[in-house]
Amino acid sequence: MRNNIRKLGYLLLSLLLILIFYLSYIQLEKGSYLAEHPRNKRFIEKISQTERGKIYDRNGEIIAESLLQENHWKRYYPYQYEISHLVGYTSDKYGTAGVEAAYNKQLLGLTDRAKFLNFIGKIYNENPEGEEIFLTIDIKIQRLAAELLTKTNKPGAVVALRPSTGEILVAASIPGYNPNKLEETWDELLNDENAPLLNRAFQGAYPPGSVMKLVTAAGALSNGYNGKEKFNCPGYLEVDGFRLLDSEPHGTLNIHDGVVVSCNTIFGKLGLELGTKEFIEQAEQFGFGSDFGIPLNVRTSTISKDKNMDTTELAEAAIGQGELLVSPLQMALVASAIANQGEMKQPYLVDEIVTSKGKTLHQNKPRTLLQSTDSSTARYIGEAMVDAVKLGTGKAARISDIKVAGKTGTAENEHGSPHAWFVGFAPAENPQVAVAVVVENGGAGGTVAAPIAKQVILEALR
Amino acid sequence: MNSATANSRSRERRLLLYSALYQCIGLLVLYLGGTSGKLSLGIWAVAITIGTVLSFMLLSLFWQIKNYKADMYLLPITSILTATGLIFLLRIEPYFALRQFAWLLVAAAVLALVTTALRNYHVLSDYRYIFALLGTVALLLPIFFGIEQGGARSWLNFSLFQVQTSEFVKILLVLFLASYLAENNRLLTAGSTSFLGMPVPSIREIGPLVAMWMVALVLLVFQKDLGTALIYFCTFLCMVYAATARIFYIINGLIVFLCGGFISYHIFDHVRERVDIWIDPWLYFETVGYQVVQSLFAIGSGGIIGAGLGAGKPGLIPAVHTDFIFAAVVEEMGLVGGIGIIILFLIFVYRGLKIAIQAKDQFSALMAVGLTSLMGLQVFIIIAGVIKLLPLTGVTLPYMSYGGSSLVVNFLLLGLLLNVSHKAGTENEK
Repeated sequence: MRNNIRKLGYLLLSLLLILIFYLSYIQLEKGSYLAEHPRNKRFIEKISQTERGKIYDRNGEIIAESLLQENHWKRYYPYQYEISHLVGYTSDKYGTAGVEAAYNKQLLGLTDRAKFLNFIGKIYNENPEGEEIFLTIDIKIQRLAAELLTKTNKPGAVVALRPSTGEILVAASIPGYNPNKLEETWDELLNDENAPLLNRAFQGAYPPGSVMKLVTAAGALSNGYNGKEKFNCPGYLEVDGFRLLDSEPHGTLNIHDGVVVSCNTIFGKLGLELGTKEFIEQAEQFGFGSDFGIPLNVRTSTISKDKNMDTTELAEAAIGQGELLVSPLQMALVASAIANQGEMKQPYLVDEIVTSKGKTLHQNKPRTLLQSTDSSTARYIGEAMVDAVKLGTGKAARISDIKVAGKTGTAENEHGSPHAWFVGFAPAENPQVAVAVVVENGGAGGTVAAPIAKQVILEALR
Repeated sequence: MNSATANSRSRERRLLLYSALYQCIGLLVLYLGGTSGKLSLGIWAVAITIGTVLSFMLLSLFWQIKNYKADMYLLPITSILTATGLIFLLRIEPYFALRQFAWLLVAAAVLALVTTALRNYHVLSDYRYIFALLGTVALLLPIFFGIEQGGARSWLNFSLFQVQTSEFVKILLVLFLASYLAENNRLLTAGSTSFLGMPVPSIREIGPLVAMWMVALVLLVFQKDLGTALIYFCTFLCMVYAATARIFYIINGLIVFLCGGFISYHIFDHVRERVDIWIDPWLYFETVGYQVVQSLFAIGSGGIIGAGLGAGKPGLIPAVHTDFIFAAVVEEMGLVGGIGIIILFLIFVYRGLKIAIQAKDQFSALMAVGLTSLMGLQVFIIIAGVIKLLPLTGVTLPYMSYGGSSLVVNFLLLGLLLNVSHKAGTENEK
C-alpha cells in the first residue's frame, strides 16, 4: 500500500505543480494583456489619472492636449474638423482612433520605459505622464487644405508629402468632425451619408482616372519605349470591338504629349502592349497593394477584383478606369516617387517621440520603400507633367516663378459627376512637396482639383 | 525519552511565531495603507489578529500538555493560510473577517476536541454504515429544505448562519471508504471472477462502493454543486487506488466519469454553461463570464510582486471573499504570493501523505490518504477554476475562503490527520 500512496502522492503533487506553471504562464505571458485590457476597470481608472501625452505638429503647435477638469483628465483638441481623422480621438465609450489609437501605449505612458519613470515619479508624488508625439504634419497647410476642400461643398481629401523624406505634411479629409464633442454627436456622425468618420486621405477608394496614366507611362518607358515614338489618336481606341472613347481626336503625338493633353488612346494602347502581368507589376512598384507601413488604417489600392483582367479591363485600367481603386495617399506617393527620381520614400506621420521633459526617445529616419521606376523615366514623366501644367489640362495649377509638375484626372464613377483629381509636385527642378487632391463628384480635375493643389503647394513652399 | 521529545512541540511554536509575525505585518500594512480605517473596525482588526495568534499558540501548548505527538508542520501551515485568509477578508470586507474569526474559534475548539477525545479514532471504523446513512440524509436535506446560494442548492438555513452539509459529508465519505476498503481490500484486489483474462470483482464486492458514489453524484447533480461532486468522485478514486493499486478501477472510474460529464453537459444547463464559459469567457463578458474575466484581470494586474496589500482592486471580482480569494491574493501579493500559497498547500499534502505512509494499519493509512486527497483535490479544483485552467466550479479554498462550514470541516480534517500521525508516533515509541 505504501507504494500506491507514493504514486498517488506524485499525482497530487504534480497537480499542484501544474497550478504553479499555469499561474506563471498567465502572469508572465498574458499579464500585460490582461492588465491593459480596455475592459479592465483598473486600467480604465489608471488612464483617467494619467496625463496623456501631448501631440504637436512639426512646428510645435499643440494638436491635442489633456486638461485637468474636476480631478479628471479631459482630452482637448484645438483643431477639430481640419485634422480630426488623422489625430483621431479617445473616448471611454467609443474607444480610440487615428494617431491616438496607433500610439495609445506611448501617449498613456505604458511603454516599459514610461512605466518605470512613472513608478519613480509615484514615489515623489508626481502625476503619471505619457510620452509626447511630434507629427510631420504642418497644421498651417493642413488647415488651408481643409478649408479649400470645405469650400467645394463636396467630400474630398488632400495629401501632401516631402518627396525626399516621405514626411506627410498634409492629410486632410473632408467632412471632418469635432473630436471635442464626439460623444454628443456620435449618432449623427454615424448616420451622416457623407461618412464624416471616414479618413478619406488614407481609406478613401476612388478610381484614379487619368492620373493613373503616370503609372502606365512609367511601365511603357521602362519596357522598351524611349518616349519619342509617335502614335495616332483618332479619338477612340478599339478593343475587342469595343470603343474606348477619347475626349477628342488628338492626332499624332508621343507619350510626352499624351500626358500633356491626357490622351486615352495612347495609354489604353500602351497598357495593352504592356500586358496584364507587366502592368500589375508596375502598379505594385508604385505601391499598389501596400499599406506603406503607416500605423493608421490605410486602404491598400487595388487593380482588379481578380488578377485575370480581360483586354477591355486592362485598357480601362491603363487610363485609370474599370475596377481600379486607389487612395489619395497612394496617388500622392506616385507623384512623390516621380519627383524623387523614381525612388519612393516610406511615408510617415510621426517624426519624434519625446518624454514629457522633452527628452527624445525615438526619431524617425527616412527610408526607401520602393524603387518605383528609374531616374530617366522619372525625369521624362516629370517634364511631361510640367508641360501639362504649363500648356495642358493642369493650367489652373500654374504659379508664376515656380515650375509646377502635375497631372489631372477626371474619374468616371457610378455615383454621379466624375471625381476631380490632381497630383503634382513643385518646384519641378528641386521638388519640396508632392500633393494629391481629390474632390468627390467634383467634376473636371483641371478646374476643381488643380486650384486647390496650387494653394497647398504655395503654402508649402512659403 | 530524550529532552527534545520532552519539550516536544517547541518547533511547532517557533514556526507559529513566524506565522504570528506575518499576520501582524499584514495588519500593520493594512493600517498604514489606510485600508482598515474605512470602517470603525480598527479595534476589532487588532482583536482578531491577537485572537488568531493566541488560538494557535494555545492549541500547541495544549497539545504539549496533553502529550500529543503529531506532525509539527501542519498546524503552522494551517495558521499561515488562515492568517492570509483573515487579512484579505479584513481588507475586502471587515465584517466577513469578524464572522470568520468567530468560526475560527469554533474550528479551533473542534480541533482541540478531536485531538483529545478522538485519539482512538479506530472506533470510527465500526460505524461506517451509520456514516453512509448520515451522509445520505445530510445531502438530501438541502434539496428539500435548503436554500440556494451562488447557483448551488447546498445550504441549510439556521437564520444566524447557514450550513453547507456537503462539506461535512466529505469527512463522512472518507471515513466510510477507509473503513470499507480496509476490510474488503483483499477481496477487491484479487477479484473473484475474470473477464478477458482480467480478474473482475463481483457485484457484491463493489456494489456498496458504486452505490455510495452514485448517491453522492446524483445528490450533487440535484444540488447543482459540480465542484463538490468532482471532489467526492476523485477522492473516491484516489482511495480505491491506494487500497488496491488496481488501474482497473481507475480506468473504469474515469470512463464512467467522462460519460457522466458528457451526459451532464448535454442534459444540464448549469454544466454546459460552466464549460462554455471556460472555453471562451469573453463571449459572455456581460453576463455569466464576467466573474472569471474579472478574476483574470485581477491576476494579470498583479504582476510578479503584486500591487501591494490594500493597493489592488479585488473588490471588482464578484464573490472574491469566498471562491475567488486566491485571485485577490495574486492581485495584491503577485505571482510570488500566489505560488507561495500553492507551495504551502503542497507541503500540507506532502506531510499528509507522509503520515499515511507511516501509518501502522490500513484503516489509518486509508483515512490519511483520503483526507489528504480531499485537501489536494479541492485546492487544485478551485485554483484551477480561478485561473481558468479548468471550468470554474464553486468550492472554497481551504482555510482561506470565507465560510464557516468549510473552515470547521477543514480543521476537523486536520485533527483526524494529526490523530493518525499521533498514533504512529506513539506506537514508534513503544
